[in-house]
Formats: sequence, C-alpha cells, structure tokens
Amino acid sequence: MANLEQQILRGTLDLLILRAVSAEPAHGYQIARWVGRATDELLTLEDGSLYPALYRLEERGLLHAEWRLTEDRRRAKYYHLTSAGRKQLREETARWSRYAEAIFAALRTGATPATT
Amino acid sequence: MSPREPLWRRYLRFLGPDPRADVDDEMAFHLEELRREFEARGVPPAEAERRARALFGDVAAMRRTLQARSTRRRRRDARGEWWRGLTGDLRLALRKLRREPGFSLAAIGMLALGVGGSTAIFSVVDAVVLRALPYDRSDRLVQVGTLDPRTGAFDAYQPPQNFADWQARPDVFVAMEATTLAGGFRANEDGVPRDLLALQVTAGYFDVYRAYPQLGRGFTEAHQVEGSQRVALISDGLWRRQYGADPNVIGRTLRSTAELTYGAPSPVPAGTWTIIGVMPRGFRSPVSGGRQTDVWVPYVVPENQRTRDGSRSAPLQVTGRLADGVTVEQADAHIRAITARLAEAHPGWFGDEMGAVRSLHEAMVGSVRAWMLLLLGAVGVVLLIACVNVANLMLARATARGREIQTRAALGASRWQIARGLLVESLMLWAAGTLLALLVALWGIGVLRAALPEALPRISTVALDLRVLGVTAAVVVVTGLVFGLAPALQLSRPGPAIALREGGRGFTTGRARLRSILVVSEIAMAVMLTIGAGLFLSSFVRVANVDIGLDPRNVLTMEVWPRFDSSKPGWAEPAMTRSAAAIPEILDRVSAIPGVVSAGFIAGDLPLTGYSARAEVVVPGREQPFDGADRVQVRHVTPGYARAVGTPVVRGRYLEAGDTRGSTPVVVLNEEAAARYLGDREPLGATITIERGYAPQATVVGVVGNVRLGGPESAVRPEAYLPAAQGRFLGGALAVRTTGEPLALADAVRDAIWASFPEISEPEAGTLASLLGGLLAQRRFTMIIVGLFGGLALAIAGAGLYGVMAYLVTQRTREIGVRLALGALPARVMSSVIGHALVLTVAGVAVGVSAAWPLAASLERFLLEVRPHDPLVYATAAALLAACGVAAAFVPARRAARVDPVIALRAE
Repeated sequence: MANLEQQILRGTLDLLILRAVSAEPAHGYQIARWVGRATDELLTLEDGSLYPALYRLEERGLLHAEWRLTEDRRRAKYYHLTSAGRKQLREETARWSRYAEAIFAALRTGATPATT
Repeated sequence: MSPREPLWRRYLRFLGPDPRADVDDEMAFHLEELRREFEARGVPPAEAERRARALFGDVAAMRRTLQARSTRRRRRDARGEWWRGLTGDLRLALRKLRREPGFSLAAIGMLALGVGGSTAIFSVVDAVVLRALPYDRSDRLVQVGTLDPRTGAFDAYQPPQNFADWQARPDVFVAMEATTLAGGFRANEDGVPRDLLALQVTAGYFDVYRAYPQLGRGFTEAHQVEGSQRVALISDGLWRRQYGADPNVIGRTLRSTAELTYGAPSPVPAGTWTIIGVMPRGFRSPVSGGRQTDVWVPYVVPENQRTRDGSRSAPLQVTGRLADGVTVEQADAHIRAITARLAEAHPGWFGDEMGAVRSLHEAMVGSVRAWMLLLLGAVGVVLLIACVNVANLMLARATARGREIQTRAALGASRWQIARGLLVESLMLWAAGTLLALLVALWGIGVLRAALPEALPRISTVALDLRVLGVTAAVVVVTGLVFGLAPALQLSRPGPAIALREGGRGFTTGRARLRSILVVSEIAMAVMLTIGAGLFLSSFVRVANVDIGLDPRNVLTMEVWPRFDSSKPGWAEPAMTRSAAAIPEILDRVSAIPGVVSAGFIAGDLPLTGYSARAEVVVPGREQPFDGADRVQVRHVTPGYARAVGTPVVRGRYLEAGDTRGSTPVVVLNEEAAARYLGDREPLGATITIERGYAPQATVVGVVGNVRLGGPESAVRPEAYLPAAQGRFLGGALAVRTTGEPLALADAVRDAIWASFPEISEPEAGTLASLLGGLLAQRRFTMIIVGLFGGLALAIAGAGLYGVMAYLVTQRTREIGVRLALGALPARVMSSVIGHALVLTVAGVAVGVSAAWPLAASLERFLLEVRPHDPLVYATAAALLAACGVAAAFVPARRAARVDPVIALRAE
C-alpha cells in the first residue's frame, strides 16, 4: 500500500511543487520540507530527486528561478511561479478535484454492477 | 563550501553565469541547510553531515544529471537568443533602409552597375581572349605562314607548294597539317536550305588537335589522291540533326553541288561523298567566330599546284603541334631557315617574305587582345570608382549615425550587437545589389554578344562567369564593410559621450577629410575615363573621315555571279565569254533606270572587302620586275566604274568604251603605282607590263587617286585598272551611284541583271557606306563602350560629390543658420557651398589630368590620326567634370540657402 501511495504521490510531484511556491518564492530545501509536511510525511523521496523536477518545470516555463541572498547573506536559488505556472496549478487542481470526486462518488454509490 | 562567497568568485560571475557552478552551489546550499537542521537537534557535525547526505541522495549522480541538463538548456537559450537577435536586426535593418530610400537605392544601384557591368565585360574578354583553346595541350599548337618584314603582317594563307616543303622537314613539329574551305554541301533544315561549313583537310589534320572520330575512322594519305577523295567526316551535331544519330551512318552518303549559294564556284567537285566517320561532340575546328564545322573532306593538291612552275594560289592555313620543350621562337627560326633556303632555290616565289610561326592562340585572338584588355581596364576603373563611392557612402552614414550608435552603446548594447546590426544592414544591401548585378550582367552579356562583331573569335562561347561576379561583389562588399563598420565600431567604444552633445564635430573632422580625399580620387578617375573616351571619340571621327579615295555615299552594290557547272572540263571559257558579253548589256539597262547617276562593274570582289589579285610589274628600263611587296593590285573595271564609286581622275583619262578587246591594251594606274613604278617619269604614254597574263605592254592612259582598298586603316597600295573588255572574268559586282537612297533601286537593278542571267539566285544588295561601316565596326564598338564607361564614371562620381556636399550641408546646418540669422545673404551661402564643391572638383581634375597624361601615350597603338595629348579633349573633359561638380552641388547649395535659421538654431 505504501508503495502504491508513493507512486501516486510521486506522479503528482510537479503539482505539489507548484503549490509549494504558489504563496511565495522558496528555495529547494524549503520546497522539500513543505512537500514532506504537506503530505504528512507520506512522500519520502530523497531530497535530491526534487531538483530534476524543479529544473524541468523551469524549462517548461512554469517556474522562474533567481539567485538571491538569504537572511544571513548566503546565495540561494529561489523559485517562484510564473503566470503560466499559476494557470497550470489552477487547472491541475481542478482536474484533481474532479477526479477525486468521481472516485468518491463511485465508492459511495449503492448500485452494484448487477443492478446497472 | 564556505558560508560567504569568496570575493574572486563574485567577480568571476561578471563574465557570465556558469551553469555548472550554479548546480554545485545550489546543492551545496541544500546540504548545508540539512546539516544545520541536524546540528540544531543536537547531532554532532560528522554525523549530521552523514545524515544530510543520506537524506539528500546520491550527490554525485544528481550533480552530473543536473549539470548536463543545465548546460544543454543554456545552449538552447543562447541559440534562441542569437536567432531572435538576428531576426530583430533584419527587421530593423529593413525598416531603416526603407526610410532612407536615397541611400539604399544609390548603394544598390552602384553595386549592380559596377559589379554587373564588370562581370559582363570580363566574361566576354575571358571567353574571347583569355581562355585557352579547347584542345589537348593547346599551348603546343601553332600556325605556320609567312611574314612581310616591311609591315610585320603575318600571312596565314599559303600555297600548297610551301606546305609540302615545310611538312617534308618537320623536325620540331610533331604534326603539321593544312586546311582550306570546302563548299557546296547543303542541308535542308526545316525546309530552309543552309550551306554547311565544310573544310578540306590533309590526312593527319586531326592528329594536330588530338581529336579522333567517335565512330568510324579518319582520313589516310590514300584519300588525298584524285579519285579516292570522296569520303567525308561529319560533326556530331550534323550526325544528330540530319541522320538522327543513326549508329549505322557509316556508308551513308552526302551530296555536294557545284556552286555555293552566292554563285561562286565550289572548291570541291560536285557529287556523292561517303561518310566514313563521325567526330566527337564538342570538337570544333578553329574557324573564325567559333562556328561549328559540319563536314571535313580530304584535301587534294590540284594538278597545276604541285610544283612551283605552275600557278600560285594560296588557300591553305597550316597548323602544327610542337614537340615537347620546343618554344615558338625555335619553331619560328626553323621555318625561317627552311624558307630562306627555298627562296634561294626558287627566286621570286617568296618575294621579300620570310617563313614564320606564331601560336595558334595568338593567331585567333591576337588582333583583338589589345583592345579587349583595354575594355577590361576601363571596366576596372569604373569598378574602382564604384568602390570608392560606396566607401564614401558608408563613411558618411556611419558618421551621421554616430549619435544613434553611441546611444545604443550607452543603453547597454554590446559592441558585438551593434556591429551585428550594422553588418546585417550592409549585407542586406549587398544581397539586393548582387542580385540586381546578376541581372545586369546577364543582360549586359546578351547585349554584348549581339553588338560585338561576329567575326570575333569564340564569341559564341561567351557565358556568364559566376566566379567573376562573386569576386567583384566581394571586393565591393569588403570595401563597404571596412569603411562602414570600422568607424561605427570606433564610435561604440565606451568613452566620453561627445556625440550626445550637439554637433560632435570634434572627432569627425578627420573623417570628413577622408571623405574629401575619396571624392577627389573619384573625380580624378572619372576625369581619366572621360579623357580616354574623348580620345577614342576624336580618333574614331578622324578615322571615319580619312579619305579612302572613294565617295561611299549613295552607292548601291550588287554582286553578279552567274552559275556554272564546274564538273565538266573546259567549262571556264564559255562561261567567261558569256559574262563578258552580258555585263555591258546589264550596265546599259541599269544606266537607263531613273535615279542612276552612273553605273560600273568591277570583276572579282568589291573594294573594302579586302581581297585583290596581285601581279608583278615590268617597266622598260628596269631589269628587275617589281615583285613581292611591290606587286600591283589588278582590277578589271568598266568605264563607268570610277564615276560610280567616286574615284577622281587625276591625270589623263579613264577607261572608255573604245578600249575593247581589239584595240591597244591600256591601263590606268593610281598615284601610288605611278610614283612607285615610273618615278619622276611622265606616266601618260608610258608602257608597262603586268605579268601573269594580265596586260602585256599596256599603255598608261590615266592616273586616278589612291583608294584604300582595305579600308581607312589600311596602307595605300599600287593599283592598276584594266578594261573589263580586255580581260577575262567569271563574275564580279556592280557599283551604282544613285541620286537618292541607293537601296530603293535594288529591285530595278536586280531585274536588269536577271534579264541577262535569269538563273542567278537573289543577288544580295548592299551599299558602299555599309561596307565601310562594317570595317569600322570594331572601332565604333570600342568607342561606344569607352564612352559608356566615361558616362557611367561621370554619373557615379557626380553622385559621390553630391553625397559629400549634402552631408556637409546637413552637418553645418546650425552654423549656416547662425550665419543667415546674422544677416548673411542666402546667395552667399549658396555660392560658398558651390565654391567648396568646385575646390574638390578642381583638385580631382588636376590629379586626373596629370595621371592621364603619361598613360595616354600608351594608347598610341589604338589611336589613329589623333594625338594622345590633344588639348581639346583634355579641356573638354575638365570642363565637363567642373560642370558636373557644380550640378552635383546645386541641390545641397540651394538647401543650405533655404535653411530656416530659427529651426536650425533650435533643434539638433
């Protein structure tokens, strides 16, 4: 079970990253921690495997990366959403909701295959 | 990884982001954060490090992946950015050029004319003069003939006796063969009968050119025997056209008739000829004009020309191939030695002439090489002027845009970006210009091929030479780039923003001086060309006006050549008798036509067509006959002839109707003949004998003016006129002087001829004037071309001057405004601008004239009847350029005078 859950969550990593930076820009470490907390530690990826996803999203134009200084004056690469990314987040979220609702509806229905 | 970046790394980043280092930094930061977190929870540093790495994953692998990805992406971005920059530049360039139509059109036009024109001319010169002959090792091919030591003229036409002797001792020659025209072969192409070009050749002819039949076999010596010579080789072209490329064409036959279409007898007997071979495609005998030979037949030496006691006829052209390592000079010496010995053995045969050898290439192009190269020189000058003008334009533009460039630089454009922008602009112009140049070149070549004399060797092989187009275009492009880019880049260097202030004249004066120098040089070159054109023009006018001894106005000419069947023996006598009887009848009829002033007949060829029979002269009291170069040119004419062609009778009388076959033999000499043969003696009444059966013991009854039978550029020769009634001939030509347009009476004269000779096919009508024109054609052509170039040079130089003046006025708008505001008269302003232009023009003219003076002396060989330092020509050229300069400055001057001081002082 944990394996399947992990697989599903891994497939939605892109979406989670977009959500992670939707409020304010964040660097890779912050995004990693957020994803962990938000998924209740269900997603236990290695931190490093976040980065290919980040780079990919940047190439697609959904994220924009910028080098900035942290509070204690160290260089870090911050990612934030582009307008295209924001749009993608909205659409993907809506899609997920519809998908989840459909599954729920199917699980709650009284009908059985025999009666349809 | 230290928490603070070392200083040197910060500076390194100025050079540009480094994707690999970025990946390292990002991952290092992440690990650092993880370590801190663990340490904050109390984990010892070493353990924290280990846990951090475990949580992160395989650092090295991740690093590799990310770096590869990053690098790829950066490259893609850079390419995209470069491409966007380029299309942006293209669009910007297009907009800019459209906004400055004057500049754009000027640059494109100059490029098109300069490059296109020079490409066209060079292609022609290359095909006609420079290119090697299309034979295997053509530098070994030579022509053998005789040389007249007095005039230096090479006589390519040789009698078979000479050829036989030369061929017997080849020595330095690997092969030596002879050829002469054949005729009578006709083909029907699309229903129109056409004379085929046929040559008689000796057996080893094709050995000289190393060309061998693709089908069948060639001639052998056995074929050069009377009775076995009816075999023929045909060309690939004829094989395809007439025989449909039939592989079994060997054995099929060809027919020849007894005469050629204009009525003269054919050199080869009529009958059937068997085809024994087909020559390969692309093989051309070196015949004038590069016309394709269709048929080759064996040459048989006529019975009476086997020894030197028989008759002398010189139809053969002798070509040979030299052995390896032998120079033309050595071959020449060899032939000269042989010929000298032959001359001793056969006195009188050679006259003063020596044996000589010249390269075949020289034989074909020698007479035209000089003036073709002159054309090339003229075109080179025009190209140079175009380059200078282009340089000037680019320089002006770069300076005018100085502000714009500096602004761009200040706003952050890199030098490369600015340079690229300018480059794209220039290249767009040059692309358009070169395309147009291609069209100009193609058109120009078409025009030249039509306009050039047909007899020009290889003129039919002229084609566009793309290499030349490329080279000349490159020359102009590079010039433009050098003069356009360099100053622009100079401006883009970061430095004090001088141009951003007003005027910015400080560092442009150097450039202005450069532009002035360029304009002066342009004008100088234009002056040189104009002077050249003027010299050619005056030379041509004088040559055309040389008294050739005839009055060619309103003279109709028509050939009279009855048909004969030369296949039967003894055909000549009755034919000549018939002609002798018919000519007076024809003349009577022609004289009766209204509009005819006088009519005459001359046996053989018309004057100005170059060919004349020559004979030795014996004068009593002188042992040695006049021979060699002193031989007289003999013509049989009717009494009306002198009046018809307009030759004045200087002494005594002309030939009369009373001078018939039965009466005393008489002769009329020209002044040159009288002087040469009789010296100071009274010519009238003297008796001379013209050898070879022309006039034994004839009395001189009159002297006429000299006629330059070869045209205005030929020397005066001694001539003798004998009565047609006392001579024997087969045909000749009528000369009819008319009151009005000569060709209008052509039909009437033709009818008169047909009444006596109904079987003659349409005799061709011409005029003496057009014959004369034909001789001058080459000169006229050169004159026109050089004149065109002169005009072109004037136009371009004028445009250059205009550009400079316009620019100056624009630059000085403010200063002019101030002067006008302070009360200066507009007329003064205008005259000062024109004055400046005049200074430049005068400087240019001075340089041009002083350069042209020594060079004109080298034109001496082309110029007949004119001095290379004719002051009229120079003065006219200078005046023309001065006028041009004033005209070019006029518009800018007027613009300067119209400057509104208020506007000029306010804006900048």
